[in-house]
Amino acid sequence: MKLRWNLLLLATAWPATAGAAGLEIHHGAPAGSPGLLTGADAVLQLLVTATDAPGRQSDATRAVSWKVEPEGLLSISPAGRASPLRDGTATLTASKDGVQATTTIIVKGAAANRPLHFTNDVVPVMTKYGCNGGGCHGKSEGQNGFKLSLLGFEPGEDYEHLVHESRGRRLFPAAPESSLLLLKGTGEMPHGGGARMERGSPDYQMLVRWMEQGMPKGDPAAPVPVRLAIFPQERLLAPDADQQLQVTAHYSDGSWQDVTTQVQYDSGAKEMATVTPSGLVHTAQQPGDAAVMIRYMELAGVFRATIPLGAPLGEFPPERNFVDQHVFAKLRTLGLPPAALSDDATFLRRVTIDITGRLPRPQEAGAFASDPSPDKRTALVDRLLASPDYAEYFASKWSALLRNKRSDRPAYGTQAFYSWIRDSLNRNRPFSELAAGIVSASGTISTSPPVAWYRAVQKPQDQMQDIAQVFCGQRLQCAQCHHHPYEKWSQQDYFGLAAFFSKVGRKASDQPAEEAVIHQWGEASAQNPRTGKPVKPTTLGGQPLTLDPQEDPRGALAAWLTAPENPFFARMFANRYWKHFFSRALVEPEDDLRITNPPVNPALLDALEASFIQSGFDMKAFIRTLCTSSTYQLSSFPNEHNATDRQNFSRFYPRRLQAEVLLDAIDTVSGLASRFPGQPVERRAVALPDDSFNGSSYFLTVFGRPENTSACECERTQDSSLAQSLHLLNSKGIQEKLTAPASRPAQLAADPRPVEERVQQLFIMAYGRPPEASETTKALAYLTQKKGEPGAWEDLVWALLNTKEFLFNH
Amino acid sequence: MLMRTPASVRRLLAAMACVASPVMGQLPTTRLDAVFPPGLQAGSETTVALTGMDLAEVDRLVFSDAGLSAVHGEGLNFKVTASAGIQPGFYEVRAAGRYGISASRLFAVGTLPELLESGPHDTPEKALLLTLPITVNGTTGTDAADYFRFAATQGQRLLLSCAAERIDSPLNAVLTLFDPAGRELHTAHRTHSGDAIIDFTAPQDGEFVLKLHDMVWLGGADHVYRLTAAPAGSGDDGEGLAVPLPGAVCDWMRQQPLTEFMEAAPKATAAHQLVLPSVVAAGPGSQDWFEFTGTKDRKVMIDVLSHRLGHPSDWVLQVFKITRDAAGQEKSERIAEFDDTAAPPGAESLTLGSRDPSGSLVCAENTVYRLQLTDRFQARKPWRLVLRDPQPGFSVVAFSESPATKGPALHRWSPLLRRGGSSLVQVAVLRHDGFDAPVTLRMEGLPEGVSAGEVTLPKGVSTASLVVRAAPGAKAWNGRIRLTGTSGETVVDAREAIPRWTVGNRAAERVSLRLSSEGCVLAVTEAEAAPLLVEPAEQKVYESSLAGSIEVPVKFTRDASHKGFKGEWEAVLMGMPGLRQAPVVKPAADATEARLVLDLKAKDGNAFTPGNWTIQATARGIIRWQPDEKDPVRELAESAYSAPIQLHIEPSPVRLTGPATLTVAPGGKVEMPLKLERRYGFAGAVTIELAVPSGIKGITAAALTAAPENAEAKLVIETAADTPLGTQACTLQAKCQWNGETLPWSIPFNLEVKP
Repeated sequence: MKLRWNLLLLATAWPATAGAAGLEIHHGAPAGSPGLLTGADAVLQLLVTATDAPGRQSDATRAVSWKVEPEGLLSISPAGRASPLRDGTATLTASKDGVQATTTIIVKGAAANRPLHFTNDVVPVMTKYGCNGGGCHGKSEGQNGFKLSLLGFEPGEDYEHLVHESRGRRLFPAAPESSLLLLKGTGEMPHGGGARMERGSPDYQMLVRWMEQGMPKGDPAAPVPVRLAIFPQERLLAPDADQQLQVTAHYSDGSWQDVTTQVQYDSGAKEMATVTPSGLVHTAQQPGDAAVMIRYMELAGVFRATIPLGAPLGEFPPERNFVDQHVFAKLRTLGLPPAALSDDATFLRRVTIDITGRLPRPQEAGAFASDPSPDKRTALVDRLLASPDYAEYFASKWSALLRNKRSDRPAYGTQAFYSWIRDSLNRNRPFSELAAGIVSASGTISTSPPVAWYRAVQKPQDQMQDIAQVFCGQRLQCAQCHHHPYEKWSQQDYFGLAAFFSKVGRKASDQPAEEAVIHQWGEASAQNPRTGKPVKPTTLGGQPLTLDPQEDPRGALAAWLTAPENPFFARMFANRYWKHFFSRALVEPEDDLRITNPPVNPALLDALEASFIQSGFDMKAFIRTLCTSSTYQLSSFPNEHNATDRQNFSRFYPRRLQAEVLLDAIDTVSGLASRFPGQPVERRAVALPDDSFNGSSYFLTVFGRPENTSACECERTQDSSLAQSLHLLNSKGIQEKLTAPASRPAQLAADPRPVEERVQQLFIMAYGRPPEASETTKALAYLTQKKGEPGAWEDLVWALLNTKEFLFNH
Repeated sequence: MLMRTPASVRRLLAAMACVASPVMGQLPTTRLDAVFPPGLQAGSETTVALTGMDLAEVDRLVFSDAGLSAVHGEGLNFKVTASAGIQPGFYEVRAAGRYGISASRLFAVGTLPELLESGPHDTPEKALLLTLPITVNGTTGTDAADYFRFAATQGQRLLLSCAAERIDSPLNAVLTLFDPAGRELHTAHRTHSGDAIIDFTAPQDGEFVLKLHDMVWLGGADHVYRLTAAPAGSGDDGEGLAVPLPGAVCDWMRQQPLTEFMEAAPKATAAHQLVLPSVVAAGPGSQDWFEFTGTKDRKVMIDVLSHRLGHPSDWVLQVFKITRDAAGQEKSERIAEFDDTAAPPGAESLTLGSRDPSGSLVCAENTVYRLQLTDRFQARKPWRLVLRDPQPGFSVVAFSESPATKGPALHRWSPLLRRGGSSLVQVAVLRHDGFDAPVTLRMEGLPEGVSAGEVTLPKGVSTASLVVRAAPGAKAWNGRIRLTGTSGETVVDAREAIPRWTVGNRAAERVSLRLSSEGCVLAVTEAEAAPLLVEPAEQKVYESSLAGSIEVPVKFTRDASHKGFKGEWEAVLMGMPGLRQAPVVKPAADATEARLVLDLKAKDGNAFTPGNWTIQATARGIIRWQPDEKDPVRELAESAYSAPIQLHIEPSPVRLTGPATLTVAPGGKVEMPLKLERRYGFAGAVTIELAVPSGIKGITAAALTAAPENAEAKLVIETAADTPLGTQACTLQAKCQWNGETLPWSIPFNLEVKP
């Protein structure tokens, strides 16, 4: 691969080292404004972008030579960082290969140290060096007697701890360099966290100056950062290339300041890109998308690097809908050719499993194979969506997410809730109605089954967290105790959302061991434990609501949640369902839609979200869009270029069948259905209403059926394990399915048809396709060798059940 | 259905898995769990089969209407005939045999052709073909569904109605309808009176398939249903008796609406105008406003009828008084809120409470009163609002308690008295519209040799127990008896509460009771003697005071044919309101007497009220029973109840007496001589203070404490010179400490102030 990369680089002459057709200087100021260097300690990251003749951009910051006019106003380091020398207005010229670009920088207060602000200057430094991280002084009990708020979200407390606690021994304003803070921070005194900063570094100097200034807390009314501007936000980068980032903080008073060296950078895919503390991104050899998370105080943002493969693209499959347009556009950008379309048999098995959780029936396989219609794949999708099997299968998915857990209660509650979900899906009730029905459920479980959700999720905070995670993809648990470290959500946001559930009341139900849910009249609010003040119901990013005490606040929550303009609701659904059908979500994990966790194909996710909203939250239409796309129908066999692709959907990613699907599939092929206590004979494992069957089924447990204890898809495990292999290979349960008198092997052995026909039937049943000639030959040879022994067919069925082709949806 | 697996067994096992206490059997009493088919067409006949327990020698079916009759066939089969003139609906049927007469079950009479399910039809492929209109009688199989198919034409509106709860079936029916292509069209569960109904219009010509199963896949002989498939309005069995227990006890519940408001008034300013009295049919909706003009001091009874009509609602009602200020600006003052209606204390287990608001409002002035009604369950079902004048009165509900009805169990049962045996009937008096007079409960129409005590419920008390007992020589008999509540000239017949099905564990199984339309039944058998009798050793009035205790010696008599009690058994005094937890005595298995103690302290949830009370001694335990030598010995729960025991409870153990009237001059003093008689073993001090009517100045007395040895005391009362002349109603506030409790009581007297 590396050799090929080098060849490609030579062939395509990527512009990182090529001559620039144009240069552009970026300094973080708003468009049209000159750059600013304010104060003696100011640092401004200059960033030069080169554009080659084809229009491709690259970072030339470290490759240009600088000229400052008039001289002596400022200095520029090789990394492009400008520092003030004296006040004035400078014209900067960057030159490379005869191409030039100029910009203007105003230097102010070069001779004076500006008054430092604890929150805006000191805290970010401690965050940058990890002092207030969760593994160090930022954890709840602090570290070795010194406690800071997590990531500096409570600067008032930090000031007290730093300046006043321990009789002020941590700081020494008379001789700041002798302060415990700096001696430990530089490692000059023993420090469990080691040396975090260099003596004399700009940050070190700033802390010294802050102490020299008398450790000012700063004006409490000082402007606060409200927005981060990251440049560039995304860029196509060659392997082994550099890209400097420039980060500007914009403040509440309209001012701005370069914070490139003060923010914290984290690469989300270190195998593709690394980043230095000063914001220099370096790409590795692996193509794909890499996100760099950038955090500053309560703000966060992302830089996305796309590292193309640059392979010859060849002919793409037809673009059937917008899914293909976006996926293929990305593949073209990456130079990553997609696999060919899958054959009919593969598609039939794949889509049947994905939509209904079952194998295609032999008669379906035959009819589909012989159908000459060009639209037969679309027709198949429609047929599957119209079948009760679809509703059963997806009801099981939602039943797990909505914590439909039996516990020690009678079966009625979970069965009723499952049936309600199933019926909603079967009728294709809009997803917005389904969600609203759960959020605002009132009454008894027998006439309003979604109240079952409230029995599983008892506390208002848990209810809020589940709703936020399931329907918005927002994991707010962190914000219960402190500001979310990777999001903008504060405790105020957390308790504002929890307040919607503060008036959920309960009363006796007409069903045993169940409770009815009601709205208790009164003013809805929750208490912010940090401020001790009540918080009104507030939607995420919204304003506090003043509601009539008789109005159930959950109604307002449901209205916000399901409104077309809600930025989370449709997006979350789209991402979740995308993962169901494509194995990998556009945002992973699928229910963690953070600013700092960007999608691998933002345009696609945007389009999916818009499509779902436009359809009126039509779930079947959404699935139809996914499954009729060429992208979904790509072969899982990689071509010579895309074997390592895990995020661009250049081929179908095979995955092990879910526990229930696999058990049903084995039941189907073995001919011996599993029985589940209290369920009808024909009950499929995928249609079991709750978790209570896991205990009696080792198979379901070992293959990862969820226990319905959380709102996270991650409860379902689709990993492989030795225990699973052993269970399939030699467990008593599988053995019984193969050897029972009524099982498939016994039926096949007694079947009077020619043996070839029987083998063909078995293959179609297991794989949805007839055997290849070589497979038939081997099967016949084995059966002949065994001379009609009863166990011969058992062996053959057993062998098929243990193939990857059977165990995986591919 | 496929299998006649008794779901009751599965339910029982499930119940046993949920609770530690086993569900115990009881001495045989005819128990009718199912009649199949559970109904027939008017003007036709059919053969029904009975399912239940202890149905030995059952040879008679007793219907609640003369239009239904039965002739005994073989075994447990009867040929039932419905007259052509009988009204379609639900009737009651009981089985009578060796072990008495059963609690009733509901039996339907319809108008449509009937069909009995036949052959396996547990898959769509084997669906039973129906020719509409039709009523199919069937039972669900455990872990299985029943399938039916029928032809319909495009645009045809059909009603598919499964009567299950409406005919006392524990089946929690789910109906699912599939179109000719196998696509699911509709599903229904508990859509109407606890049953499933699909009202649909055929979208196309073709054969539709209907699936019917229990929500949790239970089935068996008792899971009967009547599935009616017919053009809408042509043949459903209707509402029947499927209203909850609290909804069936007051006549005014059935009063027809005078007004209808099908559109809700969404805001206060659009409130519907009413004139008192008023009965309004409203809804469906979740919030509505009404207003009426009240006149000063008029008392208005307010009731919402919804849950009590069988709807899954939870209405709450707020009352606002509307006035206008001098500028004509409307002012609204919230003056009352009515929410759930509780069951009378002591009768909680009978599910007599409801989620409907009920109460009274006294209009404080001549003005407008506005009502806001909100359904917190948002059930969106029709409902009624009743605003009426008070009609003080009461109704009476009786429940015959099985010996095994203890803890979480609730049995379908009707009393069978063996020789010398006894049975307990719980009675709830449902007082309404401010009625608070004493009510005397008694049984009438008892056969010779059978007696029942008489119990008077004092003011404010709503529950009591009646014991009915057979003399050793009582003759065999079964039939209806009359249990009445009498207050003054008013005599009210009790109606019997009947569990629709036996429940082993209330924590795991749904409980549903209904009222019988027939009053109570009783049976007496000469064939067996009761295994145990319990009697007070002495018939007298037992007395003590609060914080004291009453000891009642009792004697046990065993029937020689029984082997005696096995294992632990216990005896207890019970049957008194406020007595939640009586001390239990556990005599030896062969004991012939015991001393039962009623501790009158306010502890263990007990709260006693001074007065006269009737209680009974109860012995309960496990007996070994073997009807014939060839039969295995069974261990059964059994209870025996004594004749009524009269109690008198004083507020204190001290009888404090003094002059009824004293005279004193203004500015003078007078000594009030007091006598203290300490009783029931009390020998402590007594504190006495004077209490003067508020606003009367100048009358004082120093508090005194009568030491334990003092049987007399003197309270010195002084008056000021400006004490007003006249007679003042004063009280002596006495207090003593006994057995760790402080007992206050008061003695009234008149103080005459005159020169």
